[in-house]
Amino acid sequence: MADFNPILRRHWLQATGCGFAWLAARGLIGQSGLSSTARANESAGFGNVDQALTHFAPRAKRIIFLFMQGGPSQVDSFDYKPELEKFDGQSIAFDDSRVLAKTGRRGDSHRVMRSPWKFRQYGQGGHWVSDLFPHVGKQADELCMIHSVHTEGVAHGPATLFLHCGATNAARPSIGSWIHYGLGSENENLPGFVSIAPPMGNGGPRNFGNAFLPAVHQGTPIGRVNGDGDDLRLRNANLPVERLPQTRRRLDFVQSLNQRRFAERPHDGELDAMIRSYELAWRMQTHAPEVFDLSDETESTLAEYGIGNGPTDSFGRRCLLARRMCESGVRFIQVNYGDNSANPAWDQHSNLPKHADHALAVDQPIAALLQDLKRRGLLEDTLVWWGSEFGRTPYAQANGTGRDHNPVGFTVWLAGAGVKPGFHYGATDELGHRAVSQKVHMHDLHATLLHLMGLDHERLTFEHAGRDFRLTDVFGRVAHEILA
Amino acid sequence: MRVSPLRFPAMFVVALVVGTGVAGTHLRAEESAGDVAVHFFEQRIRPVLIEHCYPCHSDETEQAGGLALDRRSGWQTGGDSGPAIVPGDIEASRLFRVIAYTDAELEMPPDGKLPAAVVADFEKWIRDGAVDPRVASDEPETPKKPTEIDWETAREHWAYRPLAPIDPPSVPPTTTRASEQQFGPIDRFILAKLAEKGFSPSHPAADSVLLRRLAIDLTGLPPSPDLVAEFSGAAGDPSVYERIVDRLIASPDFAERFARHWLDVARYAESVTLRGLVQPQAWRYRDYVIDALHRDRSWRDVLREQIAGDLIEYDAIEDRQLASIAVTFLCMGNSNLENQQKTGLEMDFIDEQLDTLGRAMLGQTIGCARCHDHKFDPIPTSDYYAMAGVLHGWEGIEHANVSRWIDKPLPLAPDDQAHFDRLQSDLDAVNDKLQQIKRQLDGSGAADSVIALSSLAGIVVDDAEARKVGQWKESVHTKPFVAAGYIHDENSGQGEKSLTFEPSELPPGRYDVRISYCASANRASQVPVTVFSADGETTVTINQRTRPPIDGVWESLGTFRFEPRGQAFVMISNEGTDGHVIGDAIQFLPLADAETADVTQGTDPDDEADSEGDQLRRLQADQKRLTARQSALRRQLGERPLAMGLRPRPEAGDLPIHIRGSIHNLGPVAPRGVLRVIAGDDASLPIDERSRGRLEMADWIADDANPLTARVLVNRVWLWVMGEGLVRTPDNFGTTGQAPTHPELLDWLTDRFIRENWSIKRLVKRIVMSSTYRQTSRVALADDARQATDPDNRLWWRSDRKPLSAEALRDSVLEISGQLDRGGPGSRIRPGTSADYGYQHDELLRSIYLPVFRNAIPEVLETFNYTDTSFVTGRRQRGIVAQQALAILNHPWFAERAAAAAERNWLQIDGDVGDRIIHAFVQTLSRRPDSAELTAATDYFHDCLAADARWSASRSTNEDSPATRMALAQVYLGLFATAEFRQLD
Repeated sequence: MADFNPILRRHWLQATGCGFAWLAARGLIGQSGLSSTARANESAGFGNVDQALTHFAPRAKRIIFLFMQGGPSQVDSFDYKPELEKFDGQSIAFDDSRVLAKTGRRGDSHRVMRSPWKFRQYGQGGHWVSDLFPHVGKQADELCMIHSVHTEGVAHGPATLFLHCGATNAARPSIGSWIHYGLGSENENLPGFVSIAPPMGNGGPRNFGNAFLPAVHQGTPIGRVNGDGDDLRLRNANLPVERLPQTRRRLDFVQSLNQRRFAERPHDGELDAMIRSYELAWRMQTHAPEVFDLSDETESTLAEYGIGNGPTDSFGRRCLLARRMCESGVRFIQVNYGDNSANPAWDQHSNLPKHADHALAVDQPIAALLQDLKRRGLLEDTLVWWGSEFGRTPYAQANGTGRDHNPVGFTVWLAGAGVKPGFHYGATDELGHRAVSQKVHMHDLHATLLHLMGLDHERLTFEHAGRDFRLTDVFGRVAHEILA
Repeated sequence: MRVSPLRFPAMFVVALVVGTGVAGTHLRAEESAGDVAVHFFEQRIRPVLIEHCYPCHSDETEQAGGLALDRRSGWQTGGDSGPAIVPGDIEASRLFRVIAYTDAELEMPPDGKLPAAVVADFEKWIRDGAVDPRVASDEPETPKKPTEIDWETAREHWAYRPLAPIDPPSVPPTTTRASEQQFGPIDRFILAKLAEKGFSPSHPAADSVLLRRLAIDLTGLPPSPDLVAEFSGAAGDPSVYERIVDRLIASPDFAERFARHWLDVARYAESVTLRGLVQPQAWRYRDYVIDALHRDRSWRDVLREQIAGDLIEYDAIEDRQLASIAVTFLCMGNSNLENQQKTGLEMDFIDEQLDTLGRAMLGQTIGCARCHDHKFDPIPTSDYYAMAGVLHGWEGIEHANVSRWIDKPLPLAPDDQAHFDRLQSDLDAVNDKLQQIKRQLDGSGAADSVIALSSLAGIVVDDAEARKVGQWKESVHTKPFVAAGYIHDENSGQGEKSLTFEPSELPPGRYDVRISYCASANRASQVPVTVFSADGETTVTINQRTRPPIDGVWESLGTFRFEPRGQAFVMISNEGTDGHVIGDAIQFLPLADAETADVTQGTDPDDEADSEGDQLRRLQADQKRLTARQSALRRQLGERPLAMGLRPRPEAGDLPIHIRGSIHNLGPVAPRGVLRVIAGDDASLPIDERSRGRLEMADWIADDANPLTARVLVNRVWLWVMGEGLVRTPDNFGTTGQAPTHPELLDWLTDRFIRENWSIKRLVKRIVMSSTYRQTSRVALADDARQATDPDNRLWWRSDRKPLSAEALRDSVLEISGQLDRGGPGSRIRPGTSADYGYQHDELLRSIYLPVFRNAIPEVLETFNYTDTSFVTGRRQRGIVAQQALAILNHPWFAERAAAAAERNWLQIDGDVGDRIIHAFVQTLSRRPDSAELTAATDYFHDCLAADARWSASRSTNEDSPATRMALAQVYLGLFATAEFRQLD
C-alpha cells in the first residue's frame, strides 16, 4: 500500500469520519484542502477516535438510550403526586396540549385520575417510585431524575422525531449521528451507533438516520422491534462459521484485483477507502458474532436480566447486548421498547393498567443493566438515558380508563457518567401536568447529553443547504445543575 | 450596509460559525457620566447579565427574540418587541417586567426567577437612568439599524448577472494532444484554463473504459458484449462513437437514467415518512419526467409545468393531463401530516414547496429567509413571504387529525368527461334519495326503539321463538330490538350455546336473510351465524360491536334459496366468541320484486296508502338497492384518473411577514412577487384572479432571461454526465455556494442550451462528444504536477472517476444476470398497500420503477448512497462504508443474481472455463482480463470447486454441473465486488 502522503492523509481524515467540527475549529480546513461540504461528504469505514477531538473534557464516553416508546406516564412511575389521590374524580381546568394545538382553547375541564399504583420510597435518598418499577426503584440511588422535561409535538410522529433529531419535521440527523459525527467510534470492528430493535413507525429509520451528515454516521439497526431475539445480529455479517472460508476466498480474489487497480491508481483515495472497507467488513463479520452471541454469559447473568423468562426475555436480551456493545466501545447504543403501530407500546389512551405489562417487560432488565454496568466499572464512563417522546396527562381521557399524551411535563432519568447520582431536578405542578420549575426542554436535554460527551452543542455544526445546522437548532441550555 | 458577506467563500463561513470564540464582541469601558453609576452597573448589573442573559442574548449566541444584552445598543434597539429598557421609566421597560415575572407573556430567565434583591438592583439601575458603559468594539456609536441589502453590490454576484456568452477561445499553442484528440468548443474553454497553469489535458481513455463510461452515464446499464465487440472492432473510425452516442440517447434507457437524476432533485417519493402513508398517484410524476426526457421536450416548458401546469390551457387533452401531473412536484414534500397545529402545518408545507422550488430550479436557499433576512444571500424575509404568498393561494393538503395530500381528477376528453359527469350526477341523485329514505326511516323510529313484529316485512322469527341450547339471559338494556327484548350468552360457556331460528312456514323462493342485534362495545366481534338453505350451509361472521348497517337494526346475511320441505333455519353460535353474543331476531325478506325495479326510481311512499309495515318494507328494500347502486357508482367513479395537485384556497392574498417564522408574530404585508435581486426593485407579480400569481411565478422562473434557471439546469446536466458540476454546489448558486470553475463555459453552454430550446439531449450529446469527457480518469504518474496542484480536478485535466449509482449498480447486476425486468409506465405498487412499512420490493424490476417508499428503500439501493428522499439532492453522497462491502459479499440478492448469471453463461457460451471467465469479465467490466487476471480468476474458480463437496477431481471443469455452475457464480460474485465494477473510470 502507498505511503501516507498528503492526499491519502486527507482521505484518511475523511475516513475517520469524525470531528469535522473540530477540524473546522482548529482551522485545519484550509490546510487540508477540506474546503466544502462536498468534501466532508466523503467518508469510509468507522474510524477511531482521539479524545482531543472533543470541545472539552468528556464525562461520558458512550450513551445507552433506553427508549420507552409511546409515552409512559410520569405520574404512575417516577413523579409522585399525592395530590392526585385527593383530586381523583374531580373535574379541573387544564390547558390540554392537543386541544391547545388544534383549537387554541385553554382551560377545558378534565377529570383527574389517581394512579392505580402505590408509590414507595427507595434507597438512602428515599426516592419515590411506583410499584410499576420495583427493580429500578432499588437502583434509585444511582438515578438522576429530571422531572421537568418538556418537548415539542403532541402526536407520536412529530414528538418521536423531536426526541431523536431535535426537530418535528422529518429531515434532521439523529442525536446518535451527531455524536458519532463529533467523536467517531471507539471500535474499528463495529459500527459506532446502533439502534437495537428499532420500531418502523413514527419516523422509523429517520430516528437513527444521518440525514445530511455523511453516510458513515448513520445508525445501524440491529434486529426488528417484534423480533424474537434471534434476529439481534449485524445485517449481512452473520454467516455461519463454516461459510466464512468461502467468503475469505472470494475476498482474496476481489482484493487481488483491487490491489492491481490501486497500483495503477495510487492517487485514488476512494479506491483506497474501498479496499479498506472490505477488510473492515471482514473484521466486523468475524468479530461481530462474538459480541452478539450471548452464550458465554453465565446462567446467573442471564437470570438477572430475565432472559429465559417470558415477559422479560426479549428486552432482557436487548439490554444485555447493549452492555456487550458498551464493552466493545460502541459510542451510542439505543435500546428500543416499542412496536410498529400508530399507538405504540406505552400509549395507553384507554386501559391504563396495561402499563403494568410494559413495566414488567422492562423493569428487571433495566435494573440488571445498571447493576451489571456498575459491577464492571462501566457506569463510570457510560451514561444511561431512560425516556420517551413525551409523558401522559394526570387526567383521564373521555373514556375514563386511560391518559392522553403530555408533552409539557414528564420525567427522564439519567444514570452513570457525569451526572449526580440519587438526584432530583425540576418539578411539575402539584398534579404532575406541566413542568414548572427548573424546566428542561428537549433541546436542553440534548445540549446536556452532548456536553457530557465533551461536545459543545453550539459548536457541533454541519453546513448543509447554505447554512450551518446543529442538533439544538438555535436553542438549548446545558443543565449544569445535574452534572456531577 | 452589510459587512460584505457576499465574498465569503464557504469555508470561512463554516469556520466563523463554529469558531465563535474568536469572532466575539470586544467590550471596552468608556468615559462615563458618573463613576458611581458605572460602578453600580459593573458590580450589580453586568455580572447578572453575563450569568443569566448572555447565554441567549448576545452576539455570540442567537440573540433570542432579536434581543442582545451584551452591549448598550442591544437593549436600546431592543428585540422583536421594541426597546427593552427605557431609562428612568420602570413601567415602560419591558425587560424589568419580564425579569420581575409580571409580564403577561414572558418570564425571564426561563429557568427561574432571579432573587428579589437582584430584581431590586435592576429596578434601581433603570430608575437611575440605566447607565451602561458597554459598546461593542465594532459597532458605530448610533444604535444599529436593521440590516439593509445593498442591492447594487448584491446583483454583482456572478449567478445574478445576465448570461455573458463569449466565443470559445482558440486552442492554446502550448497544449499537447494525443493524435486522435479533436478539440471542440467545450474543450477550448477547458484548455484555456489549463494553459494558464501550464497544463495540458490527459490522454483519451481506452476504448473499453470509454464505452463502459458512456453506456452507464447515458443508460445506467453496462454495454452489452456485442456493443463492446462492435466498438473495439471499429477502432480508428471516429464516426462509430458518435453513432453509439446517438443510439444510446435515443433509447428509452436514456430517459429512465436521466429521469432518476431529476427525481433526486424533485425529492420524489411515493409515501410519507410519518405513518408510511402511500401516495398512490405519485408514480404519474415519475412517468411524466421519463416521457418528457424521452421526447426531448423543452425543459423550459417542463419546469414551467411543474409549477403551474394545471393552469396552462393546452389544446390537446393529453398535454393538459401531463401538465396537471407535473404539479405533483409541489406536492411531494415529506410533510408532518400529523401536526395538530394546522396553521403551522400549512406554513411548513409552503416552506417546503418554496425551499424545494428555490433550490431545485433557482439554486437559491430561499428557505433560509423564513425567519430572518438571509444571513448571506440578498434574500430579505419580505421576498420569502412574497413568494410564499403566491404558493399560499393554493392548498395541497386537506386537514384531519392526520392531514392528507390532495388527489385531483385529471382533465379529460369531452366524451370521457361526459361519462364521468353522468356517473357523478347519478351518484348525486342516489345520495339524495338515500338521504331522503334515511330521514323517513328515522322518522319511523326504527333506529332507536322497540320494533313491533307487526311492523316488519317478510317472515320474522323473534328470539322468543328460537330454540335455545345453553343458558341465555333476557335483556331490554340496549335498544333498538325487535319485539319484547333480546337475549345474550352472558359472555360465558363459549362453544356450548346456540340459538336456532326456524320459521314455522316459509314459502319457497329467494330471500334476503337478515339478522338483528343491538350493538355495543362489550359484544363479540366474530359471531358465527349459519344459514341452512337449499344452497347448503353458509356461515357468516357478524361483528356485533359495530352498528348494523341497515337502519341500525339489521345486517344482511346474504341471499338464499329455500325449497319446499327443504331446510330453512338460521343458527347463532357462541363458538370461540370474544364478547357477549346477542340473539334478537331473524328476518326472511322475499326478493321477488326487488331485483327488477329501476333503482334510481325509488318508490315514493307518499303515493301509497298501504299499511305502515308495507311502507317501511318498501323503504328498506329501496335503501338496500340504492346502497348497492351507490357503491357501484363510486367504484366506477374511482376509475377516473387522479394526480396529486393543488386547489385554490378560499382566502388567497398577500401574506404578512412572519417574524422569526412564527405564525403568532406577524409583521408588515409582503406583496406577492419574486426575488428582488433578480427581478429588480419592483418584483411584485401581476396577480391574475384565476392563477393567483402561480402561473406568473412559473413564467418568471422558466424564462430565457432568468439568469439562474437555465444556468442551474445546465450545471446539473453537466454534473449528471461528468460527475461534478462546473459549480460544485449544484443546489446553491448563492454566495455560500461555490463559484463556477469555468464561468465562461457555463455561460456558453447555457446560451446554447437556451437557443436549442432547452433540449437536454442535445446538451448531453455536446458534453459526451467533447474530448474533455473522453479523457482518461487515471493519474498515471506518481509525480503528476496536475495532481499536486489540482487534486480535486477543478480544471478538468482528467475525467472524474465516479462511483456507480445505487441504481446503476443494481440494474447492471440484473442485466448481467439476464433477469432484468425492464418495467414501464404505470403504478408498480402492489394493490392493497396503504402503508409502506416492510414493503417487499420486486427483486428484478428496473430500479427507477420500484416504488420509492420513504420507510422502505430496498436495502440494495439504500446501502449504496441512494438519494435522500426528503431533500433536493443535486449530488449524491459518495460515502464508502463497510456495510456496502458486507452487502456485496453476503446479501443473498447478489448471490442469486450471480447464480443466474453463471447459469446463463453456461447456456450461452461455448468453450472452456477460460472462455466463460473471459465472458464474465466482458459483461461486468466491459473488457477482457489480462493474463494475470485470467489466471487469478481461473485459480479462484478451481479453489471454489475444490472446496465443494459435490465436486470430484476426476471430472472435467468444463462439464456443466451444480458444482461448476456454483464456482462460476462465485467468480461473478467476486467481479460484482471489485472496485472496478463499483466505480466508473
